[in-house]
Amino acid sequence: MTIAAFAGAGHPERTTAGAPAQATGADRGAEVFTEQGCGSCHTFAPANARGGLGPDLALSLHGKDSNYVLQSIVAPNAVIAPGWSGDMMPDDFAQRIAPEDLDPLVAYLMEGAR
Amino acid sequence: MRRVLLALGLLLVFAETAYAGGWATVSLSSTPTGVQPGTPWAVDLTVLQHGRTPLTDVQPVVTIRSGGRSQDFAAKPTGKPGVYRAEVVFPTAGRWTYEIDDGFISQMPHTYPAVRIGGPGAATSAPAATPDDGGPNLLWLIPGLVLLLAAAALLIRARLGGHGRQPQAA
Repeated sequence: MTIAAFAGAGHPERTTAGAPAQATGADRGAEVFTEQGCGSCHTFAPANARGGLGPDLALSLHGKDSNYVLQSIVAPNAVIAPGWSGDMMPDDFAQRIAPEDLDPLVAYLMEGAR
Repeated sequence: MRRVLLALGLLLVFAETAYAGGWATVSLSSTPTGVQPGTPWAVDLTVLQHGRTPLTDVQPVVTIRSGGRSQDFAAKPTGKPGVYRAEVVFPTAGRWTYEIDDGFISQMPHTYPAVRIGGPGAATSAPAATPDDGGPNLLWLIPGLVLLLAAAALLIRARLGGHGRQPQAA
């Protein structure tokens, strides 16, 4: 996976206010999904997310490899899911998400879209 | 009658457009994973219109539910644009769900996985009670259905009104 090529250096919106102990691995991917508000726009059953502004991630990411999933996060307009318009999703998630959180998020999405 | 139908048609189009244009994302500084009952979960909510612009005049609310109980926690502005802080307390251990009303479009709460508060399983998320089946999000149809029902009611009323007018005897 080529996260370094996409990921930015900082994530200024992240805070630690009242933050409980942080999970690791797959659980961390679920947390990143929630923290980043992915479910505000996307439906994704494993996250109980019901957003309707973007594609259902379990469908649009089904059968895709990790590079595709990563690209969908950090360069969302590179490939637009059929039936959806471009320029809806902000293209700065490489800056919003800490580099070390991208791998768990990709793994979590791939698991849920399997 | 044509005018009424035309007006309703336009209303449908504009209502859908306005609804589609008014949306916000909510990101969280943390999740309640690992939180113990009775201990505040202090979470910063970042509310962004269209996922980009901080919303400064909204009143987000975090709602927690378990069994038949629910409790609301209003988030307060932190002074940073678009960022609001809620102090959420899960009163008892067990499986809880939570959702957030961003205060901008309240008809579409932001939903999250259920969590297990307290106990040995506190570090992992609990499975959702009603997991989504991955189908289309039908909540988006509600505004349109309401308008269609209103249109049907108007049509019925217009027809009944027309039948009620009897020809006057000369």
